[in-house]
Amino acid sequence: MFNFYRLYTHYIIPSTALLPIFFAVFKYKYLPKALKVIFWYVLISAIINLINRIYIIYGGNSILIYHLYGIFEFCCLSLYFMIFYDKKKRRQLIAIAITFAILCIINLLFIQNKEQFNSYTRPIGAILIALYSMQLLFKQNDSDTNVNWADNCYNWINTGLLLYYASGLLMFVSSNYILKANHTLIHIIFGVSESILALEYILFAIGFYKCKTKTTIFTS
Amino acid sequence: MQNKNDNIYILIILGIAGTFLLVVSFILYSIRNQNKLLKQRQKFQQAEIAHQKELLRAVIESQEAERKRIGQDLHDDVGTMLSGLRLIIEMFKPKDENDVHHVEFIKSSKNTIDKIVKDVRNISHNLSPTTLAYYGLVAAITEHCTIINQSGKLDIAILNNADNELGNLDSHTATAIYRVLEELLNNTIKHSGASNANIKFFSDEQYLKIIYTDNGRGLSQQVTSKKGMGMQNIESRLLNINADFKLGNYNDKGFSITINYPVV
Repeated sequence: MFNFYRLYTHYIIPSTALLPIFFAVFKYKYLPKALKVIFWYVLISAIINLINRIYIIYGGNSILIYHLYGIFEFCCLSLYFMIFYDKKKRRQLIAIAITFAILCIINLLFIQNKEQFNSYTRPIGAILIALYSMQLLFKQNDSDTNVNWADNCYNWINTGLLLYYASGLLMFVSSNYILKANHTLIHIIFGVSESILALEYILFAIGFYKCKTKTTIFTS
Repeated sequence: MQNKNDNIYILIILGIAGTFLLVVSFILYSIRNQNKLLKQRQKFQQAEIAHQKELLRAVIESQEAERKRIGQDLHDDVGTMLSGLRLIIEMFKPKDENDVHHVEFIKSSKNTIDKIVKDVRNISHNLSPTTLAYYGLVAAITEHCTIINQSGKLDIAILNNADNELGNLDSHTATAIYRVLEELLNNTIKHSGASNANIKFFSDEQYLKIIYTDNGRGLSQQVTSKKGMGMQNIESRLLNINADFKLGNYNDKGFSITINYPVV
């Protein structure tokens, strides 16, 4: 059981990141700006995840990586959402991203130091990303009524983000608390969370696959 | 204490599962909603296209009826009156029957009237081809091509391998195809500088295929993007009978068009 869990969380789940990377590399030349941002987000996340696992294997403290990753993740995804909006909304998103980054640094330096997960700031980021995804899903549905839902590549990306960040919210909130639980429960909770991450990557892969050579981005 | 902690963890798992399900439901609802909207939109667009087709059909039918009326009036009224005028001129007896001027006048008047009668007949036939109504599409096209062939401007060959399908066409479709071929021949004579043209009728299980080709200068890609009146007429007439067409050969390689009319 433990071996299967190890195989699943250490090898199968991280390797699902290769799926969107494969499709994105294959179509990189034709990818619109927004999907290029997602490609780099997935690629850098996968590299950070790999570094994190190596750190853990060698007994290092990877909490700092989680704190820094939280800032990168939010800023990168804000950049993705920015592409779909006009100047005014973009400024608002930039302001939110800067405020969030400052909060994360304050949290890292003064509140939840290198010994604790960023369970205050990451849930805030997750809520914001889930809200952005929902808003963009509505926007795409309103503006792109001439195509089937499944044919719009952005719907797949937004669905992946919404599923992961909304479902993972409880885990982000309780990440410090969970570590106190027994190993079986930790494995179950992390297993569920990792499975949702794998689903996010699969949905991203479908999004990249569905991307046509010419895609129109609607700005409000 | 341990039990209490365990319960909280199970609640966390349930919370994650619950949120996941909520999000999935939201997305499924969103998909359903958008696809429903898309279907409604497509239905509306189809209804709009059908309505436009109906309007186009009405315009074409009224145009054909008007042509027929003008054609018949020309043939019956103007033609008859000209024949009457010719008879009057012939019957007129001057004092001196050997007057050279008078003989010359009668001869030239009769020639002019004959020419006008012939022209009126041609115009009336063009406006409302009676052969099409009485003998069908192939006969009408053959007659039209024979007239053009006689002029020596163009040599047209017709190959008919779809007798049954052509015979079963209703008058509306036959008129539309006749007008399209007439327009194509007109274009060839006016613009292409071609010496030969071919009209081929074929059929398979689904379509009556009409292939029209000439050896003229053909179309340039630019011309095809800017459609003239003739091309628009062809397109609207074919659209009206649910036929599609494909243009071929560009830039000095002659002109060709393949028309597919669904017979099933």
